Amino acid sequence: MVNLDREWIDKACKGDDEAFTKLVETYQNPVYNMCFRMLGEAGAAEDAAQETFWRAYQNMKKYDPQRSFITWILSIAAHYCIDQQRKRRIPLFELDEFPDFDLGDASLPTPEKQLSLNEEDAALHSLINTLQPIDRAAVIMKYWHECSEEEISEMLELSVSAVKSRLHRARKQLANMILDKKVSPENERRKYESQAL
Amino acid sequence: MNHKPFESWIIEGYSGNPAEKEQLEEHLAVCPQCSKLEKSWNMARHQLKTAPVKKAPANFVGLWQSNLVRFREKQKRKQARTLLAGYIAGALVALIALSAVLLPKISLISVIVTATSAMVRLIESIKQVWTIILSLVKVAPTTTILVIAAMVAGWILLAVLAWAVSVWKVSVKKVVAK
Repeated sequence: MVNLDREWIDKACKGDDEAFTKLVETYQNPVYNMCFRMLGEAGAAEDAAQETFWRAYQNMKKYDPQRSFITWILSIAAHYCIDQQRKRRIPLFELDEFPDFDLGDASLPTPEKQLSLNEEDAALHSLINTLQPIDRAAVIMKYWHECSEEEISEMLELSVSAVKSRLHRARKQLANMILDKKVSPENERRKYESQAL
Repeated sequence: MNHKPFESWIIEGYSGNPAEKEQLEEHLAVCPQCSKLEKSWNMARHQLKTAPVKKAPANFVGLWQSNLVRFREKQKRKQARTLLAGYIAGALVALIALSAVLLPKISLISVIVTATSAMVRLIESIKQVWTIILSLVKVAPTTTILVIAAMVAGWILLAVLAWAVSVWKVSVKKVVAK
């Protein structure tokens, strides 16, 4: 499979569309998963994955064959999704100008989109959605794609120590989120409990 | 209580040294904060590790093939726009450079005078041509004038017909395409 991949990569570098389509077929799932976990919406993830492959297609001549192809393409996907996340967070107009609209947090899926995620996905997405985009990308690479800290540093263009510190911060944040979720329902109930009880 | 090394061991794992493991267990037994952190991190890690890799939609490769055509067209349009913008910018730069070289030598008044005299000469020439045509019409026999008028009317009629046919062809093509 690896040799076959290498052959397709070589052909794709020379501009063979069919070989590149084979690469799309092979790497569609990891790329889609990265986009889905980063963006949390099936439609946006599909668009992002397609855009990732287009960017890879355009830059095939710049691809270094010494580097793992999956690392390279996941790095493109991660950077694209990080950019998308940043764009989503930038408001296009002042909220005060439109006080009647409830725009909510643009980084969170809308209720309709939330429904389309199954319960586990929604819980997991709400958990990792609290992380900063770069930290989220590092967590996804670490836990879904089993990348080493060195590989993550290469993909996100960070130093290894920066990756370590980001992963530490992200893990602590995730643990605290779980802790808060476990505590909050009890607190909610206590608000409505009778003093006598 | 010092949580520092224990917190890191919980979250990042420890080296596997039995002494460290013992120390951590002892600390967890007496520290509710670190114990909670350990439990919640284990839960979070379990969620991350057990979540499956999301599979791409079934038609992803087909979509890629159709998108490739679209992406290429988009890129071509972008390149054409960039090229056009480059030409316009180049022409503007050349114009500015030319005016920077020429303007100091030519005064604004001389430019106005030259342009006005050229305009006057053009009007005079048109008037002369018109006078010649009128005198020719007066001298020419009626039959010649009628023949010329018929020819001009015929040309106009042909032009209108050609225009009408081309409009009809375009509209028919669009209907067929729809």
